Amino acid sequence: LCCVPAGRPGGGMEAVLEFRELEPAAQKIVHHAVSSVLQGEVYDAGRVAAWVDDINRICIEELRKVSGNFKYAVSCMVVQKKGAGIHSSARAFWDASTDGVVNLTWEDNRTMLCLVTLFISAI
Amino acid sequence: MIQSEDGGPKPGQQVIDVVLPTYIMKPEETEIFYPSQVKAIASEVLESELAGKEYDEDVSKEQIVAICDKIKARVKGECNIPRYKIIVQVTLGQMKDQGVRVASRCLWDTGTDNYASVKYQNQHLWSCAMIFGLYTE
Repeated sequence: LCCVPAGRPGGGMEAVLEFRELEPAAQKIVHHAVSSVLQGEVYDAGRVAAWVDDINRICIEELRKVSGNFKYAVSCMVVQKKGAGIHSSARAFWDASTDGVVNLTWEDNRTMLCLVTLFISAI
Repeated sequence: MIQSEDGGPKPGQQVIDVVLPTYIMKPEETEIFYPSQVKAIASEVLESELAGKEYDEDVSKEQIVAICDKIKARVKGECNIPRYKIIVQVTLGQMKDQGVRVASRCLWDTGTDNYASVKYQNQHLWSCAMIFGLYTE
């Protein structure tokens, strides 16, 4: 998976210092992590723990390779589609010029829904 | 501090505080993010806001934002953690025999950063609050 932020020849960990530069790469990583784990699967209560762990692990590992200038917190939620309503919200006390959040709602699957929230905080 | 000639900011004038770096690498003993303390605050807020409530789509939207705000304000006010960035995430769902799994993973400094997570449920709804505390040097 090539996640070099656009506009930076050669990439490199020291190149990215602010969230808005990291954001497009982060979105791609999160989307790729979810679709690679959940594509074509049916909701199975026994396996969902492993799926969620895999999604989180892939996100963090790929993000580390993109930039080491940030602290990451990724939270993943897999819900079985049974007609129930769900809400999620987040509040943060941080430096809005360098920190940010990436949200992904993945609904491509017939039996389940995946919500990933990724908080990125600059060091 | 931008001062006017007579030695004080005029009313309505913007005052810019320049804060110099402190070069402190670790938080003080008394200023650490204690998960147990934050957990207690979060469960109190969830209990008081959601006890006996039913899931209603429109009300839940505002409810959840209010819960987030309350938790954040209380953690900022009551826990002595001035150099920490705080992130609060709250999820609220309807009870309908569905399966749900919520998990998180973080890449941070394990010596200074921590998180607290609280669950609440009643017969109509379930809720999960996660509070992350990140130290800023």
